[in-house]
Amino acid sequence: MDTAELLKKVRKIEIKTKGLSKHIFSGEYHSAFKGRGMSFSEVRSYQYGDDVRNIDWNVTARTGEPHIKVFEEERELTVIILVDVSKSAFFGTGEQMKNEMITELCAVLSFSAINNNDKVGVLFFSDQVEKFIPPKKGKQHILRIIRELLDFKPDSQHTNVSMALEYFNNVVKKRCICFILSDFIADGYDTALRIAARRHDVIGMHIYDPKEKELPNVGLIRVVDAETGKLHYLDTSSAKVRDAQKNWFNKNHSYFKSAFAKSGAGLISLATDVPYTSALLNFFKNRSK
Amino acid sequence: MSFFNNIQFVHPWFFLILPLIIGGFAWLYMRRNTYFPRLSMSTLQGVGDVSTLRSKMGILTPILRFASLIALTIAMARPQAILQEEEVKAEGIDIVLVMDLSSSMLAQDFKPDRLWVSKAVAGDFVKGRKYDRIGLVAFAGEAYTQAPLTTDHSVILDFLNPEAGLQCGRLTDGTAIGMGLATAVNRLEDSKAKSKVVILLTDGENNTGYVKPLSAAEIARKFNVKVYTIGVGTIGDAYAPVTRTASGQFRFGISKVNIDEKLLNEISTMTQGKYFRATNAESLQQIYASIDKLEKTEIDVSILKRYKDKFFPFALIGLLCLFLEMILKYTLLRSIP
Repeated sequence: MDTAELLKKVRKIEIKTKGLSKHIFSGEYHSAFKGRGMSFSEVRSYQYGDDVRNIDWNVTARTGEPHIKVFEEERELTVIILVDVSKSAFFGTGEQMKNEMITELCAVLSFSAINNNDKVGVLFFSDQVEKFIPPKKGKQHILRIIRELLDFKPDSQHTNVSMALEYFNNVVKKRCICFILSDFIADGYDTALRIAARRHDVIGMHIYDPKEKELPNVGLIRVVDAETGKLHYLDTSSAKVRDAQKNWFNKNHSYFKSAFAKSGAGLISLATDVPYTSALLNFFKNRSK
Repeated sequence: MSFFNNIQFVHPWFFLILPLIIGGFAWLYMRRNTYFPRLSMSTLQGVGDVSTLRSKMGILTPILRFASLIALTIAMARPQAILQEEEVKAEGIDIVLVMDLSSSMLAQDFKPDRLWVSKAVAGDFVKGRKYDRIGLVAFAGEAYTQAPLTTDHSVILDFLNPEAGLQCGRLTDGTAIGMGLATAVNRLEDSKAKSKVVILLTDGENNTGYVKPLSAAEIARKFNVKVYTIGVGTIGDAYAPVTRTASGQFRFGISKVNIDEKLLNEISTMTQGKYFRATNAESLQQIYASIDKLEKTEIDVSILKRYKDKFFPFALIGLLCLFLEMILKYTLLRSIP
């Protein structure tokens, strides 16, 4: 991908996701993720119903009118996005490949975060930490993240979510919001996830292709395992093969769900053939309740 | 495998293609994961191990292609079977072996006895005369034809088997040289061979029979039969059967070796043969060797070679594999991509 093409693509994603985050997600995102402390914001005149404990006596004395201090939640959160860049994400049977969807989601989340004046950092992982971009503010930073994401060539093809989480636990000490964007074709990450979820606000975003869930009956297909590179002949006309795929997907998915639910982290599953806007919106709404 | 015997290739240089084919397919095998057009799946953890007959047959098409190329290469090299035919034009001679079966042949001056050695040496002689007709006459007190003139030497060799074969004591005891010779000559009477030979082997004197040896020799000369005579026995005394017990067993004792050399000599000179005296196994062997040399047959062997093309089965296999591959490729094993 040459630079011009890359920038064009970055711009395209920017336009699409910026709009989304500004108009649709802005409020939802804001209310979904709250800061811990409260900081003083302004003083205004007392109105009926205000808590009397918040009356600023100095100002009241000076002006002769009752005034109260208004506090606002401390924003400036840190958002870390863990992005799976393993080969398995290079798969898609619809309009979008899984990795394209991951890139878009990453952009949406990033723009939403900077709209709220939050810092955004990104960690690319496969079965090793491929790249870590430390949290920063600013649009330029987001565009850089998108560019990196589009043009990234991972060193390894496999997936290890547990290792990425352990690294994240070790590196990021301050409480932050952590999104994990992956297809979660991995297991054994529940321990690391529990440790991460105890300190941070972790949200797992499972992106999958509908054809992974259920293989279509198209006869014999020649396929390679994206992560191991081994050639197989699959007889999709056989119910046995299709059932095996369905069972595997269900098993994998239920592990994902139970691991995230048990550790108290948020989780959301997104299929590549369904627009993610409404699903994401619902998720944010449910969280802010 | 008789099919692979006598196979030659008319164009063996076609086999130079074989390393190319094998190398090509080996290269293909090494790169099988990346060579074929293929779909990429996120993971095959769930279905990678689940195989059906059809998915197992997926690799059949390249194998069939490989087999067909190999078979067609062999067909192009044009294998031929060589059918070799030997046509032998030999002016064979007719030989009748006359064996003395009198009890004195059991004398043990030859080891283990005279008869055993005589049969063994005569057998070797017969093996050497591939193109001649050989007959066998046995005599003691009387004579009979054991085998008429024949080219089926295995029959003769059966009778000359030292362990089994001809045995003493079946005939009236005695030595009727004249009868034996006459029977042999009788066998050669109608023979049209250029050379007719009798090899007469005995160990004693003519003491019975109603044909005198010399008159038998006279008949032999009349029919142009050469008679080689062999006297078997050491000079002096030998441990030989002397009498028989009531149960028919031979009783052995020392007795004088008595060969009527004068008579045998006379018979052979009358018929332009030769008289030999064998005192032990080696000398008997030499005697037969010299008779073998004296009676050389002229052999004219011409070899005809006929060729039969054998490429057809290979071509058939190759084309079948090719068609099978094509049919499977577009029907049962049709795969995406």
